[in-house]
Amino acid sequence: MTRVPGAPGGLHQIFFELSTDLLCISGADGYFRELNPAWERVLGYTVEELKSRPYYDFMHPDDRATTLQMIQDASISPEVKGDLENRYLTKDGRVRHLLWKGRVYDGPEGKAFVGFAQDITERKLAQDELRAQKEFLSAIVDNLPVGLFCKDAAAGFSYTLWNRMNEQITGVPRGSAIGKSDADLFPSEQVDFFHEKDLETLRAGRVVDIAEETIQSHSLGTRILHTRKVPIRDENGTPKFLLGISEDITERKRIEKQVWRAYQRQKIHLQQTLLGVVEFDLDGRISQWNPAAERIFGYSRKEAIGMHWSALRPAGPTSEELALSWTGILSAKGGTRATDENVTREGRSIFCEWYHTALVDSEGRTVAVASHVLDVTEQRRLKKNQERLLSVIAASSDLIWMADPDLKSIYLNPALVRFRGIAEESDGASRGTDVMAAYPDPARRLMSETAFRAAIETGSWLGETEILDAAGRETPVSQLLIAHRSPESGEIEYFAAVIRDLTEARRREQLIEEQRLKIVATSKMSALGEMAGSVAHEINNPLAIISGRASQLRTLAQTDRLDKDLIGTAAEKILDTAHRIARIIRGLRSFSRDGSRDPFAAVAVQTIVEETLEFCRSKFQNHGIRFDLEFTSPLDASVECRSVQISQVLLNLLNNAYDAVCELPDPWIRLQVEDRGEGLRLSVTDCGPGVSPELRDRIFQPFFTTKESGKGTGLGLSISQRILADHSGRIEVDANSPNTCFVVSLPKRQTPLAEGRLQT
Amino acid sequence: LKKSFNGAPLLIVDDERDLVEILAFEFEHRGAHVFQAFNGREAVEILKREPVKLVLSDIRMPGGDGTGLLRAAKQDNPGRPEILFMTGFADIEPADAYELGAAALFLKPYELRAMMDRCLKLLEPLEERWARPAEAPPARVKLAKGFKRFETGPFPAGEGFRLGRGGFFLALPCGALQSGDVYQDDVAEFDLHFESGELGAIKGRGTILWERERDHELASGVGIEFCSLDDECREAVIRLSRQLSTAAYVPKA
Repeated sequence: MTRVPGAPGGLHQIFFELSTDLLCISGADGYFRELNPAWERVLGYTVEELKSRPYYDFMHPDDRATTLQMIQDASISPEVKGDLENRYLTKDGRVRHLLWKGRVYDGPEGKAFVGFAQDITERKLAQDELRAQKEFLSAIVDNLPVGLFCKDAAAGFSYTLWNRMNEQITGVPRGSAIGKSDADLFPSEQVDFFHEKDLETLRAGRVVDIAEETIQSHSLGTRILHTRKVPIRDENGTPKFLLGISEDITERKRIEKQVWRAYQRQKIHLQQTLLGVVEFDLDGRISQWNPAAERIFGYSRKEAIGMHWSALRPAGPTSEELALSWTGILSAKGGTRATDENVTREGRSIFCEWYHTALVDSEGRTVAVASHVLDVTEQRRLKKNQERLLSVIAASSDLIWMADPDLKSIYLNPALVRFRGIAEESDGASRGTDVMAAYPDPARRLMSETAFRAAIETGSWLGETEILDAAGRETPVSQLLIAHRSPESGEIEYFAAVIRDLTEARRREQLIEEQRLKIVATSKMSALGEMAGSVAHEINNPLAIISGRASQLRTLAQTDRLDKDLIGTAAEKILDTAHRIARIIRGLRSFSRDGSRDPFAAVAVQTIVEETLEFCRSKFQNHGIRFDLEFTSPLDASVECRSVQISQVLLNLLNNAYDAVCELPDPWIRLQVEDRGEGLRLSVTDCGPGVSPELRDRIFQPFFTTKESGKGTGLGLSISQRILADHSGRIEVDANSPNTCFVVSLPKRQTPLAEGRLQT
Repeated sequence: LKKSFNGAPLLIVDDERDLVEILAFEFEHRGAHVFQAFNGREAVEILKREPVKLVLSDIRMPGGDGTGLLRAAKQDNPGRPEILFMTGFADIEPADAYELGAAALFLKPYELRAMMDRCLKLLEPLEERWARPAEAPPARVKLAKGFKRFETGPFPAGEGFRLGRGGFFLALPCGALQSGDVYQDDVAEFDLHFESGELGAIKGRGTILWERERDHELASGVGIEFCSLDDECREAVIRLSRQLSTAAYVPKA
């Protein structure tokens, strides 16, 4: 047991032994002399163990030098200045922090150090932890992505906290801010606002959220902050500090604004676009439907949303087929373009061009289908029409080119390509070539001097030129040249020409002309033949009668049955019939002459009429045509004329009437002769319906005929007109008659002038 | 005249009453029983009542012409009565007249004897009419042709051959008949062979009724009326001609 020196044995001993602090006396030899039991508890060694070795053995090796130094110092000056703190190691190697107070004491056993140590290990650890925590906190505060500040409410709202983010936002370094108030840092209107909010926070006693406030940053200009202000109270509940948390939302606001604008723009697009914008969910149900889609399909947005896309398809494909095409859309990489037949709400079939895009989320999963749709029904129709037109042009046997205003070809149709001998496969190569190369020089001149000018002025030019064929031969063509102007600008957009090879047409024209001449000749022949036929008929019948009578007489003579009466009757018949033949021959003789050089002579009208009728009366009779002759002029009225010609005119009119009515039921023809004083009016009327106004002039043209081919020459009326002009007369159609009526007006006397003129 | 009409009923039609009267006199004189008509309509009425075997008719007449009469007469039986035309002028092409079914065409003024011979011949049964005559004038034209096949039908025919009630049409290449010569009414000897079909050959003599160079779309050729047929083919041809459903005496093509 260690005895405490200089103290009454019992009481000191008790203090010494009960003290929780460490008490010791150590000698100059470096060994503990006395130790209280607290040492054993703190270091785990027994007192004997501690005394057995130099005390610095138990010290932390790092602290040995400083401790010895201090003890030495203490031995020089008895007053220990300040506290000594060092570390001891426990028996199991742990560190204990000790805080020393001590003094050097000169005792009976020499100089000794009396020490008094407190085990401050726990405190020390707590302090370290606190410091670490503080550092950790301030690191957090400094590294928070928000501005953090604190104002002292009691000290004029001066700043007591100002983290790094706040420095960034405001551009004010911490050093310049701490201890300052807003008025020192920011423009006054902002300061007023901040202050007002500070007061509001304190008044309310709870967090105040300021969604937007403007602050003039020293480095970044005007910034927008989202700030929350928190009152911090003291132990009495009085608000003491004001904690502020600010977030710089300037960027976010800008992006938000941009996004909003973009959204608005997109919305306007969606509303205004002609493109139907439709979204489908994965099952193919409509989830988005813009006004254009409403217009295209007739379903309102309300009706369309939730509708399945198959409702837009015409009936027909099975559900599997539909499902298949839907799967195709969903699985397609990129977009799917399709032209589909669709059906509107009214059941109208339309054609739509679709562009489907599968919408994928960030993981690449398809979540919906966005589709653009355009009604192309009309376009398709136009395109079809255009294709049809183009195929017509391509199939045309006419040669067609189109060229730009510089006459560089844009299109040559196959007929032209063949005609010019351009190899079919080099069709592309013929584009952009000079279309004028196809024309020989004279045609080029004509076109450049006349045709193009006219086409540019009036839109088109039609004329005849030549064009060079594959072998370079000039071929006559008719050419329609077209100058097309742009409807917008009025500028010439292109020239086009439709060219027709006239070689064949010319050949045909020539052929037609030859044939026409042949026909004229034949029809003259046929007119002659007709005349001969009717004459033959008129004569052969009487001849048959004469020979028949003669044969009858012979038979009677052979059988001895002749008697006076029989012979008389037969002879009478033979004579009559012979006279009949003579009459016909006379008429024929006078008629067969040309008569155009006959002198004008006064002839009884009746004679002319009777002689003319000799040629057609029996024809009318044979065909059951009723013929009426009405004479209202005196029978002996005479007319100065070339009687053969007038007879020709009459016969022509009567023959025309015959041809017109012979096939009609109950036919009739009427010839009226009227004395009109100065002249005669001869009219031939038949039961036909009259001459249509369109034909009234044309029927007097040479070669015009309505009769079937080979029957008429088309010359009768024109010759009649010429004959009457020679007689100062007229031939015309009586438009007032309900029937077909031709009227011949003939002066009774020719004026000397007319006669003179005619005879030259 | 040795032969007589033996009371055969005939009809004479013409609008020239004198002519009808004269012809009636002559035919009655040869033993015919003559009905008279002065236009087509009257003639049709008589045909309805009387068992007329032969009609001699003008073509152009007021009140029903000859062709109308022919059509009406042949409506029920293409074989009877035989119709013969007489005309003042070419009112009808001969080929058309025979095609329609006329068995003869006489031009006025006619030769009475020829007309009568013809009428008598047409009144004979075909077996006699087409029997081989004891002596025949020499033929100027010889027509021989081989055919692949003889087809029966409305017109029994071969390629370029057609049979009618009284003769046949034979197509001949253009210029086969020497141009310049007129063969009409000439006698031709024909010898037509068919490789297959109902008829093996048609052999005999005939009269050339008309000849035709190419006319529009019609082939050139000749219309021939049978005068006589060889024994081997006669019966067959008679049988075929009686089966004909058309009136054509000699087909036009």
